[in-house]
Amino acid sequence: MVHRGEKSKPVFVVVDRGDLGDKVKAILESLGVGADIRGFASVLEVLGESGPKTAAGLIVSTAAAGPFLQDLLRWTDREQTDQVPTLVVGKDSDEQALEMVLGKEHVRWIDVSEIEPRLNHFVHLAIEVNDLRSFHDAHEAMAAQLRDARMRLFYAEIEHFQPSEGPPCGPPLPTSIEEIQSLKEAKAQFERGLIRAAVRESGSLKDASAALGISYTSLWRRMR
Amino acid sequence: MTALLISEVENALKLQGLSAEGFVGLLDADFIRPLVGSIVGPDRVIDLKTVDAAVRAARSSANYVFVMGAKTASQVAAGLGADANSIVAMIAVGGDGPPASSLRAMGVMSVLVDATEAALKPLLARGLEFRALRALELAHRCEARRIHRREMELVGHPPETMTDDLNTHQPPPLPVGPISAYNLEEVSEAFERAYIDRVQHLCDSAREAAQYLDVSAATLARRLRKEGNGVNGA
Repeated sequence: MVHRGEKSKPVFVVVDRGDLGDKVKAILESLGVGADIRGFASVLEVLGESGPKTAAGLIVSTAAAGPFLQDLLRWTDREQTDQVPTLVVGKDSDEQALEMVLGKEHVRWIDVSEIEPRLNHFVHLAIEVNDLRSFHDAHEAMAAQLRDARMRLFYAEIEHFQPSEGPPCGPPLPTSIEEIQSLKEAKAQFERGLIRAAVRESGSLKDASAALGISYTSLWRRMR
Repeated sequence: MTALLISEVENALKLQGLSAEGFVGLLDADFIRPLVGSIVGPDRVIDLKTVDAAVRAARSSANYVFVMGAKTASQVAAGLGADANSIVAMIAVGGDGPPASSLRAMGVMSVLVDATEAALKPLLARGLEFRALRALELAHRCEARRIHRREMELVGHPPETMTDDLNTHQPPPLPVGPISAYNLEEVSEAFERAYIDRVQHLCDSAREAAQYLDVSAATLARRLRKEGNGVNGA
């Protein structure tokens, strides 16, 4: 049976007094991605007690942020694995705002005159980062559970452990001569993981075969 | 040997593309060979010959459980260092080495006093399952690391802060979410490039790399030309 993976729904925070929120919504709809968009007219609403705790992405216009842009960027700048990908929309002539953005790797800047293509790119990026974080957590949780189980097994505290399916993995790269597999075996192992990932995401074998760029028959044969 | 693994573990290994084949590495324990062979089949018993060979086997990705003389088991445990008990399950046999409590403290999983099938078989099964769970754990950790790397790249952190211990190209993680590329040919080629690159770093020459990869030198050279890679150490 095919199951879609359990993933958190991305939340986009938009701080703007214009139509940025609508543009983000249109992009998400065109991608078929279910996401929540939370619109705010000022930075203080975001940083206030009832504001969001985190987000998959933040899109802010300098016109709405004003002098509080710095505080908002501080809100996004967290531990490396929790930073909020951020897009600041302003005028290239706004040197004060540009200075606040400089040196912050997770923050992108676009000029108001070229919003369309770059906003699209940013939304793609933020969704992928959100998915990556979700899968990363799932892999780490699975690894921790397996480690605990095998150590209990080692000390005979349990007789057996039944591992759950978990998200698909590619083969680890060898770190010593002894670990090298033949190219054929390693590639086959990788492809099995890739096929599982596609089936998991697509929800049906037909959609998975289209995503993988192979025929339904070929997918069926490979899965067997 | 696979019959010693419960079906749930065997299926989990297969699902992740990992081998469910297991082996018993024997060192300094010839007297127990017939018994081990009768449990797992003679073709699954591997003579390790030296302590170094055992340490290498323990660090390899193959599914091993070790049966060793007590004294040798203590030497292998010392060779594996402080984390011996997190790497491989060792079963010590015979009474010529340190006491059982010391062996356990060194990382030996079990000390077999009664060399019978009834006593040995569950220990082999436990050791093999331990190793299988370790293989699954490593697969998840490596995937998590590749995912983290991709995340950092996307967020905008410079690549020099993300190099791995061997400082070689890492393959992309498996695709996640609706935005990723899933094209089999494209993504598999990226993996193949990374795999060949890593093997080249581990080998002294292109010829040796080809041998380990089980492809001809001409095939490897052709693939490298296609990818525009140089040949490390050739």
